[in-house]
Amino acid sequence: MNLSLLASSVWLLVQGLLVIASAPLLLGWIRKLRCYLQSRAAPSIFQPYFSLYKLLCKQPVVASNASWLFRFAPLVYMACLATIAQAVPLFFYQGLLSSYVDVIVVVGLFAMARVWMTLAAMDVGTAFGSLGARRELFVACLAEPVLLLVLLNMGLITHGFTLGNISYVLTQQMQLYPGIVFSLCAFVFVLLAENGRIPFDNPSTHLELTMVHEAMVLEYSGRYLALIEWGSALKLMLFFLLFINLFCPSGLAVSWSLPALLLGGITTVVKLFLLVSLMAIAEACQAKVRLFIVPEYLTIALLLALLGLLLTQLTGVHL
Amino acid sequence: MDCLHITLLCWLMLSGLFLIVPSRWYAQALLRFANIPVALLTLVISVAYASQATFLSTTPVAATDLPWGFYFQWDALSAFFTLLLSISVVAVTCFGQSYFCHVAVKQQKVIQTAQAVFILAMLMVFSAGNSFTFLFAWELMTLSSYLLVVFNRADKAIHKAGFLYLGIAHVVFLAIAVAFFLLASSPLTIGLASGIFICALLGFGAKAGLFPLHVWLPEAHPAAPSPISALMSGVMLKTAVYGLIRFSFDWLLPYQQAWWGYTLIIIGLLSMLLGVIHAAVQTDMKRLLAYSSMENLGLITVALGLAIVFYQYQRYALANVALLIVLLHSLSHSIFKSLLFLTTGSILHATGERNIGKLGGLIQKMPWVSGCALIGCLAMAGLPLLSGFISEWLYLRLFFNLEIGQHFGFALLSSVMVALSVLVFGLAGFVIVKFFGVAFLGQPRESILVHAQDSSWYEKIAVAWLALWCLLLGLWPQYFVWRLQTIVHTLSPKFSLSAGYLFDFAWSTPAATTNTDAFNPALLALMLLFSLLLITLLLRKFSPLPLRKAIPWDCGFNLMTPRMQESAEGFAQPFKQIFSKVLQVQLTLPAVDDPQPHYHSKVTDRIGSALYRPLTRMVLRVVAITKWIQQGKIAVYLSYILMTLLLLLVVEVWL
Repeated sequence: MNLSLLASSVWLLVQGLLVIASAPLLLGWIRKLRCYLQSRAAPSIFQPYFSLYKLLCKQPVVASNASWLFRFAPLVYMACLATIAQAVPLFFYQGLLSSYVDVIVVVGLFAMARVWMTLAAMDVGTAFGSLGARRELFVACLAEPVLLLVLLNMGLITHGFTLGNISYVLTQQMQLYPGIVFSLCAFVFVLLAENGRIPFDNPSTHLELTMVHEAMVLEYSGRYLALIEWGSALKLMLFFLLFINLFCPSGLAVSWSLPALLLGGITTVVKLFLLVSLMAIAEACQAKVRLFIVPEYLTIALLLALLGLLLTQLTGVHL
Repeated sequence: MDCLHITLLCWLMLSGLFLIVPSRWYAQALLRFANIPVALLTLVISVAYASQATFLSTTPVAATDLPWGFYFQWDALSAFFTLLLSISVVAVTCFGQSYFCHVAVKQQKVIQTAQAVFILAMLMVFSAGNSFTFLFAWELMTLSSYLLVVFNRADKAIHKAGFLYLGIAHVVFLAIAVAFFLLASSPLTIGLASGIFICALLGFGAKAGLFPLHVWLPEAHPAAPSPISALMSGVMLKTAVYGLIRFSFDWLLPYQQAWWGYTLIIIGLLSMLLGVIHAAVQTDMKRLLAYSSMENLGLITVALGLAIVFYQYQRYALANVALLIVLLHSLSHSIFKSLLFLTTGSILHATGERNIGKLGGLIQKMPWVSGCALIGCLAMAGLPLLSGFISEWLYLRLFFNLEIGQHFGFALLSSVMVALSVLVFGLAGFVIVKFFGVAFLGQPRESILVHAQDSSWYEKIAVAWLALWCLLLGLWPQYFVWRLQTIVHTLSPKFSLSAGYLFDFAWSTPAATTNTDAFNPALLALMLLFSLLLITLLLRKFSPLPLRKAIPWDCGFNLMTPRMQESAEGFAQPFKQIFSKVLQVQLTLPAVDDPQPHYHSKVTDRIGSALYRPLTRMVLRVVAITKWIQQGKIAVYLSYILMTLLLLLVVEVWL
């Protein structure tokens, strides 16, 4: 079934919007599972949507000395992440912008989202905001290189520059290469660090000296907070999608036929479900580490990523 | 008389005019306004030349013999660097209108004269047609910039910085002179060419602030007045890049060796890493920018090294792209660094404070300048849509395309290179958030900041001009890249790129199944704008309540003061801890019962001092031995002269 360019663009747009829309659902499932594991009564899986709706209905309160940057930053944050969402594969191996947004631009957009959030955190000039900004950058500066190295390794193996290309090549010839295994391990660290999950940060704490991401957004309320929360959920979703599309893309639809798309949808949902459950279990089993242990973890990740890259160069295996 | 000579003559006359203008009522006006038209003229002429670069490649535009052995000529490369110069010069002269107006007329004369000579000297360097002209201009550039650095006489530290600058500049001038001298010897061998390259690398590396000759840069650049720092960091460092390109890809191209490239790569990587780590822990905003210049010049050097290595391995297309990166990043660095240095000038003007840890909240006081500074910062961090990203994107793209099967060692080295580079890019993001966040955002940390004035229109126009270029270069890189490609093509006919190889800025949709892609920043910007608009509309629809202003919540602690924000030291504290091996941190902590506790920390360069200490010790030892020659009595010196004479006679007679 060959679709025209316009029709396929519309479908790809829908796929990207689906990524954005389903992001809070992922968060809901993680929270539910964590509650089960901690023997607590679990909220509904749709609770994040209710929270977002509640935040949207509330009147936003903004610090009187906040500048335009404070109100603008959540919009940029969401816009950057939404643009990335249009470039990652979900059911189909490409996104709407896949051909225009290569992996370097993806990392650049993540960086842009982060820089705007950290700047906004420093805008009001409270002790907590700048503390959070500093820690966020501290973690991110070490995590961003790892992400790029992992993507570079995958790009070298598959000769692809975009997420779509990499997934496409991997679906066609899926073999296990030593380089990929190291990259996978490194990526797990990045996934946890970038999204502020345990052991790097505890997303469910407030007002603790351990917090990173939450400290940055303390001054936000109402619709701005809703945007940020949604954006953070989307970021987690994007990293999970990156994970499954980089390391186990099998099942992803590569043609516009109904069975292939169905298969792609089902496998993606199953993979997401399994991964998220794994993360929830892992989070329930361990504690957050001290802030100064974080660079050690990330250095391990950097070395792993570098090892993966070296192995790829050494073995010279290209798909 | 052609345009090049007219431009040079204009700057020469301008400097003469500034020197002799009497201190009358019109002096002020003349000093302030005369250089803007000349700067604009330079810009127009260089744009005209740069835009017809293909024509320039075949026939040199200007080749007139001048008295005293001067000889100027422009080719495509010179025209490009002149364009780079003139973009900054337009901003700097405009900015200078208000920046220097509080200085006495007499001092203004000195500054304006020196500045005009400085610009003239840089123009001469870029357009020198023979080695005498080049060396003369180089020396003129050093001397005039030295004058500008030590202009603020009151400060002893500035004199020390100026002396260090002058000392290193002259030691390495020798190296450059030797390089030119050897270049003239007619049968060049590979060994001789390598010697020339090493000399040139020493000379130009010191000017570019590359490791380990970088020690003067963080001292001298901050010491100068801000517009001059902008010129020094933005443009003067590029003269070194120009010299390196000339030596390695123009004059010595047939004798080029792969190990030259490796040397450049290693030096560049070390400079990048050291520069960014130091930039991350600085508290003085101008020192921070100076170290960041070191980082950027490191990147340019790495790219140049890559170009040489690829060229030697017959990967001409890759070498071509690497050279494009060199030129593109030179241009974008000169723009955003000039912009940021001018911003620091505005801050200094408004507050008189150089320590970022004592600023804060300036986005409220000077919204225009802070907006432009934000653009410059984002460009410096290499974020998408701005000028810095294009060169970093191309640079990373190089590594994605490495297919060097037989050059195994290089393949392995490339992994380490890319790891270090991306680490540096990550840290650069931290540096700009620190710079912008601490200085412009938050609440004013000192009470004097409440009275800070917004900057004048001249300053606003100057920074906006540069910010515009940042955006232009970031959003529409295809035009610049293809223009630069014609320049690269003039260096060697082997450099030619087919569209779509390695990178593509096209609008067209790549075929869905083939492995192609295109990056179009304008399209990305449109997409982001569209999303922003959509989000705003949706928010307005679903959350219509107007926002309410209140005092900051701050977790309900109501005893927070502006002093509890992160200081510049505090913000960089984690990095001080991680990189304690590289940095030397001297901490002065208050005693427990100190009634007025004072915290003081000083960060110095451990590696630089570790390298220089044995050197200075050796020099001192040699001096101690040779000291006895200097007896301080006339009779002794006369006898030295006599002995020398006798010796010469003996040599003359017997040999």
